[in-house]
Amino acid sequence: MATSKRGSLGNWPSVKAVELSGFKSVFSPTTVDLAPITLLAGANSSGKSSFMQALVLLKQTLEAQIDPGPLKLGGPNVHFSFADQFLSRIGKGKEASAFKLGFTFDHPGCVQLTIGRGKETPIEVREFVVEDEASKVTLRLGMTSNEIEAQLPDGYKAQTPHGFKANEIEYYVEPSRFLLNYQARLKGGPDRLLAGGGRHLFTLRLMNFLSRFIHLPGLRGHPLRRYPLAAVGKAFPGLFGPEYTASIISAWQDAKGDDAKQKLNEVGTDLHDLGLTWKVAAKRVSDAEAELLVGRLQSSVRGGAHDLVNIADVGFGVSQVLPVVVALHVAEAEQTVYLEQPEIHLHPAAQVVLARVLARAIARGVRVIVETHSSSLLLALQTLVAEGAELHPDDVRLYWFTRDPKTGETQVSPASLDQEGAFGNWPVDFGKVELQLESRYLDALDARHGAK
Amino acid sequence: MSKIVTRSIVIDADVARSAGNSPDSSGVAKACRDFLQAVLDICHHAVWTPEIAAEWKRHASRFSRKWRVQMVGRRKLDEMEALPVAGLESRVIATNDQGLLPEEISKDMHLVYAAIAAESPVASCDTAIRRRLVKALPRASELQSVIWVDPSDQAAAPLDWLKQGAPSEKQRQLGYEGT
Repeated sequence: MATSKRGSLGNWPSVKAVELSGFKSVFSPTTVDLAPITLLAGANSSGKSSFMQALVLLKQTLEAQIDPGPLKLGGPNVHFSFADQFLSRIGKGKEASAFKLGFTFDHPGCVQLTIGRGKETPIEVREFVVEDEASKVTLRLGMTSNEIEAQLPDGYKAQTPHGFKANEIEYYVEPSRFLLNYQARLKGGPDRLLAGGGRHLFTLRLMNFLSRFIHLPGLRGHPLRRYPLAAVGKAFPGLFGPEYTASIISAWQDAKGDDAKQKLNEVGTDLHDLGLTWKVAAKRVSDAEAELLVGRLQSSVRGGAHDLVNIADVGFGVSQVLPVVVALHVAEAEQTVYLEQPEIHLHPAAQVVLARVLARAIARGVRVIVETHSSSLLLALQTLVAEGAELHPDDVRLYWFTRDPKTGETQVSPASLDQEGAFGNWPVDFGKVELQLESRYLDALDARHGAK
Repeated sequence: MSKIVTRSIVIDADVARSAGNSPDSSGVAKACRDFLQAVLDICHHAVWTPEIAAEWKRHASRFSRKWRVQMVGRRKLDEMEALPVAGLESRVIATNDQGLLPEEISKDMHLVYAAIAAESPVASCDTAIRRRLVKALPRASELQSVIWVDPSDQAAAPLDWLKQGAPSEKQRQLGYEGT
């Protein structure tokens, strides 16, 4: 098995699971544990995207340049106009006025947000809870100083400034986008913040998780002849698309270190294994734009280093999967990449290789959430586990989404793989659909030959 | 809603082979495909001994391979060992009056051993071996209660039998045929 960088953050807590309720078709509390590869599958409109929209809604709120308040409803990752569009309404008695989103960590504790319709504003954070081994702090807008202080362990309380008494300090709740923080100040004095307020480590880790969360949408657009260049850092606000891809390739080419060169080579290896091309390059056409070029042939040939063509001139498969491969390589250990339908425009043989590309990514410590309809990808992951060399059963967690036919409520069935790559009693229908089709086709042939 | 009863079934590799026969105008291939699909859909299991696995591998069709992948994925192949029952094979061979070669009988005994070890019914389209086993009943009482279902015999309503939980109905026992 490849040397894994998993857990390289040492003692820093990482998000281990997400629990959601009251959001679109996800009415009842539904938990998704995040494994190195978390695979979300199910029929169309079964709630896979809805579940993830709650996460990317927070991401786009955090990334908004102008403070949007508790949520930025309309943004690059997801677009709403009214709270009613995301609050669950799935029948009588099953209407949510707020949704809850909980994050647990690989250290004991959690962060829970409750966001819903407000009394004075269309949307407000109703409750914010941070719990660890030592304490549980529940914050709501308008809480009194005593209510806040009573929850705070000693280490979390404000230091009393010299010359003042402890009862001259007052605590208050301050909203900051989808978070509520407590702050401390001197009563009646200038609005002077005191040490002791601020954010819990879990809150900081959650913000880190969301701000570095890479989101590749299912629709990745037509390839263009040139792309605007963006700054390349550790975070990729908005959607991760071809613009970031071109910028990253360009930055890696310009970088002096071996690391960047290695990443370029690894991207080329993945693309070659996928049967698409062997080389990718960016060519600056101005200070603001670059062309994306790819090898015309699948494999390198003598003298073929410059046999490159614009990405708009090759098949869709390359332009659609290139952002996937680049995102998986630019992501660092413990960074999460959310891939919607990474298999689109890929030949089934390439979908099989995609499983290996994902396995290589998690060996580098990257965490991946994959929303897929690909039976080939699923079976290829099962095969890698059964072969035992590249994936361990614990590396993969499966979630099958269905909707209650009467209420439309999303129901989620989790499954793990065993050492043989089997998932057991998981209601996946991919393989069954193929088997039924095969049977139907053979029945049709038999009928043409006069079967009884 | 009534609970679905599921059983582990010994499925002869001839069912796997027949399921992939195409084109087939006899209706056997379709019956075998429908049977295998029903086993998968109803969530029955299959007894999987090394001998059965080897036979399935030998007679695999594209359809049966895909079916096996689905069964493995759902952990519905019950792997087990089924040791020969002492003297049973020789007693069956001794009653052979159909001109079958001993090895023609031996090659299917693994189905009987698996059925006895797992207390499971057998699904097989091989009527010759069934007749042979019925003939051997007077000298092989172990075979009396073995359930034997032919997926291609529509008169035996194999799909209904699967839906009902593959019950050990007396009329499906080899011993019942021998009376």
